[in-house]
Parts: sequence; structure tokens; C-alpha cells
Amino acid sequence: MKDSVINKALFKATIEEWRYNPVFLPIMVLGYLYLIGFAIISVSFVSAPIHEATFSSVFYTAAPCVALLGTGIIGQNVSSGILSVLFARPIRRYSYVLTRWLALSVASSTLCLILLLIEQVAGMAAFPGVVPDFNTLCQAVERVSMCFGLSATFIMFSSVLPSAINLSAWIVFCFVSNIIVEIAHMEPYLLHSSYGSELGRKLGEFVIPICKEMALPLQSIAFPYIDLSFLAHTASISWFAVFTYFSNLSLSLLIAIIVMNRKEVSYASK
Amino acid sequence: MSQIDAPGVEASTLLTDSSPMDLNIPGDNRLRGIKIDCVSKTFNPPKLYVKAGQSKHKVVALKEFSLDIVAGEAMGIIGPNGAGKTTLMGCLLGFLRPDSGSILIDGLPPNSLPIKEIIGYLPERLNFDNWMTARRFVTHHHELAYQPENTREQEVEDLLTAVGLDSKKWDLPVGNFSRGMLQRVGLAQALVGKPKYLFLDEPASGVDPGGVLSIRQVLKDLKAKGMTIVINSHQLDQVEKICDRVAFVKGGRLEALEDLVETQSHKREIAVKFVSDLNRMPSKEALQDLAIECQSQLIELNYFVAHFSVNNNDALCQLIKLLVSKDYPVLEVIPQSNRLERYFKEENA
Repeated sequence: MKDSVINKALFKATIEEWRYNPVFLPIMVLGYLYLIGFAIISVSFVSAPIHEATFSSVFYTAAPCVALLGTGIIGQNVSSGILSVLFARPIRRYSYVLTRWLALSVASSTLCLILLLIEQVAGMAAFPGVVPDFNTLCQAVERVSMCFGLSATFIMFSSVLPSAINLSAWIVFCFVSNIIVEIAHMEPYLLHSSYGSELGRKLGEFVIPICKEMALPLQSIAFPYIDLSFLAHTASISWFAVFTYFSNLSLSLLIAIIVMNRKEVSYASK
Repeated sequence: MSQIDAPGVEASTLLTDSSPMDLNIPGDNRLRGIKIDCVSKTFNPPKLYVKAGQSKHKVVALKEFSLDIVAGEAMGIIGPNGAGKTTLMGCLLGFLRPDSGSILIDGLPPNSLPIKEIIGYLPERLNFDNWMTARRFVTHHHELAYQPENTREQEVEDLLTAVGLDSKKWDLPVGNFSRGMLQRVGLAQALVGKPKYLFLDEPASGVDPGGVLSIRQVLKDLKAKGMTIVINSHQLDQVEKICDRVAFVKGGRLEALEDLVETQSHKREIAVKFVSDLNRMPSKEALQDLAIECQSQLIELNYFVAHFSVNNNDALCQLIKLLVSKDYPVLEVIPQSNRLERYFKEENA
């Protein structure tokens, strides 16, 4: 299919790059071994099996997998000049962006699910009689959703920034969004308590509403995933969470596509 | 076996069976070829520099550049560094957006997919995924060009053979390759998909003399089969031997357009070498008189070698005729400068 959205050859080459790149492979293997070790050790330290997924359990497994594979996923190609030869081929630029995103999402999800499997095996060994249940499935879905969402965020940063700076940009973005969330949480102390100066209160009146508005969108771009924890309590789906997730994912990819479409890939432009 | 003999596959077999006349082009035949119409391109300094107040001036890379490249011809693009050649190449391939003007390849903009299917491109600084082998790299581009899977293996091997890459190197990672070997792999990549238009940016850069001859032979074969070739190169002899026409670019403008197929008629320098026989050797004055007679000029006489400046082909013919008729012991006549060098000599002057 010449005009397909996902380019099969490019997808294959992206996966092969992770498998055969002599520089990248050792870093990835070491990083992944660390995650496996961490998963086994954390299971042996708890006194009872953990059923429900928490944000931490999802984030600390999905984010490193995406970061390992997605650092410089587009920026490296832009900086090295590979794109000029690639774009001389009959490939749409949006196809390039979406193929890289899908490859990153699928590869990181696979790593993440293998990690979950190892955790489950370690859990069954530590707590005989405990078997994977519906919560395990929810964990798997949450981790995969974070891999797909975070891959879109990494793709967006990588299309804008050169080389491997997308990782640093994402870390800074996470840090800033966390600060904004913390400021939004300070509302009762800054606005409604008797402590603090008048100036602080006035400043709080101005800043806190803005932070409250920005907190959720920023967090859902920095840590995009579908939180299924509500399923443990109710049977209904939170459509708001689902729509927020997909709209942020689409927005990130859209920004990446627009940036790539506007990019001049000849080294004459440098 | 010499480097020239090395290619086991005729480059001509890399082309489609159809001649350029068979191209499926919308509209009439006048659309065939490349039409560059009044293209201008300026590079603005990054906003960061402007905000920081640094004196980064905008660079005018192309100024109302117009050129028609006929389908099937080989066009050379020459010019000093910073003349706008690479920018022109970038615009031709759709990598750069001209500020004004238009470029049409077979009546379509260079960015359109049907055009990408019929072009091949070898950049000057081709960067590779270093982990890939030469075979994998060319296979990857064969896949990207949507070439048939059943002939993939054979076609990739044919291409690597055609560019003269040693078959022992095919399965080694390109990260260990020399510049010349990389350039051969790059050329094989450019020829994937049997392109109708081939854009080459310094194709023989860093290639050993044997490789230069080998690449030249490949390009000559392709040209003979009707491929349109655009070469941007500083190697003037290479350009002269392959191209039909040459565009001299300077300051973003088309300064001159030279037809190399036409009978050569331009002022140039030649050296006449005589047999080392003092008894038959003409005097300096005799050679000066002879030069004046055929509207030429004796530049210097150095033992048995006389350097002349001739105005055109007729003058050269007359000079040789006179030298022979006077029974001077002429051994050989050697051109002293490449035809295209004069552009740069004038530039330096």
C-alpha cells in the first residue's frame, strides 16, 4: 500500500534498529535488567500481594521503557541528516511520524508486559496460591495505555527538539507540571488560612486558579494513561478520562506532524 | 581486474525497459523534464539570534533562479562554495520551500508522491544507520521505494555489483566503511527503484581514482539509457565528461549555461610538446610569429614545450597545421585547462 498511514518498511527498520544497534542495545539491556531486578525485589519486600495498579506501579515500569527506546527517536534522525534520504522516497511525513510512534508504542508495551509477567511470576512464587485476576488485566491495560500515550509525548518533543534532547525536555516538563499541581494543592493554605501575608494571599488569588486550570492538562500530557482504578469500585467507565487520554495523545501527534511537515531537511538550511 | 571492469552488471540493466518517452505523465510532452521558474530562497537567522541582538544576517541563497532541464539530459551544476547549489538541490527535491517561484518535475511539484517514485538522490553527506549492513541498507530503500519483493534480493545484489562494491563487504556494517565505500553504497541506494531522475550531490566525494572512473562509467551507462541526471560537483573533469550542459551558479543566480555537446569553441590554453631535437626546434620568435598568424599567443617556451593561448577551435586547428607544415618536430598537443575551469579562473581574477 503506497499511501498507507503506517509504513511497513519503516516500522520494521525501527524495530531492527533497537535490536541491532551496537551502541543502543547494551544501554537498553542494562536498563531493562535493572527494571526486572527492581520488580523482583519489590515483590519480595511486600507482605501481601498487590492487586490494584497504582500510578507509581504504572509509571515506574512504563516510563523507563518508553524513555529507553524513545530518546531521540526523531531528533536523532533530524540531526544526523538521515531524513533527507528517507524523504526522497515516496513516504508521507505524517506516515513517518505515525510509524515511529506506533513502533515505539508497540516495543515499549511489549517490554512493559514482559515486566508485568515477571512480576506476576515473582508474586506467585512469593505468595503461593495467588493467581493473576481482573486487576492484573487492568494493570496490563493501564501500562499499555501509558506506553502509547507517553510515546506520543516523546514523539512530540523529539520532532521539535534536536538529537536526544526530548528526554530532558520531558523530565523538565514533568517537573514543571508537578510544581504546578503542588501550587494548585496549596489553595487551602494560601487563600483560606489565617496564616501568611496579604501579598501572599493576593498572589495566590491570581496564581492558584491558573495552576488549577493547567494542572490536569499538563499532567495528562506528561503522564498520559487511562486510569482504570474506578473499575474496582464502580462498573461504569469514566468517559471523561478516556476522552482526555485520547485527545491528548492526538494533540501530541498532531503537533509532531505539523512540525515535521514544516521542517526543511536539507543541510543547506543549517 | 581493474576497478572499471569490476561492475559485473551493466548499469543499463538497472533502468526500466521503458525509455523516458514512455513516462506516464499527465498532460502533454512539454511537461516532461524539470522546470525551475524564478525560484528565490532566503534563509533567515534563527529568532533566538535576532532576539539576542546578534548580527546574524539573512542569507539569500537563490535569486530568481530559472532553468529548464530537458528529460534525458545530464545537467551539471557548478559554482563556488556558498553559491546556492545545495539549496537548489534541496528545492529540486522538495526538502526546501522556495520563497517564490516554482519547480515542476514532469509537470508536478517535487513533493508529490508520484515524483518521489521516479527520483533517486545521493546527498553529499549521506549519513547511514551505522548498524546496518550495505545489503540491509539498500534492501531497506528497496522496501521504502515499494519495489517488488520477489526480485528484491537479486536487484539489491545487482545494484551493489553495479557500483563496484566488493561482495565481501556487502554483509558488513556500514559503520566500518571508508568514505569511498559509503559513497558507492549511497549511489546503489540512489539507483533503487529505477529512477527516471537522478540527483547527485558530489557523487565522487572521497572516492579513490578507480572508484571515480567506476562511478563515471555507471553514470554514462545510465545517461545512455535516457536517465535525466543532475550533478552538483566540484570535480569539473567529472562534470565535463558526463554532462550535456552545465549551469554555473554564483551568488544564487544562474551566471552561465554552457552546452558541452556543442562544438567546443572557447579561449583556452594548450601546450605543444616537441621532440627533443635542438636542430629542428623552432626559435621563440618563430613561434611568436606563427601564433600571431593564427590569432593566438605564445605564452612561454620552456625548453621543448611551448604554451599557447588559442581563441577558438579554428585558431587551434590553424596553429597545428602551421606547425606541421613548417616541419617542426611536434610530438603532442596537450590541453592545459579543463573547459569549465575558466569560470573559476575568471572568478579568481
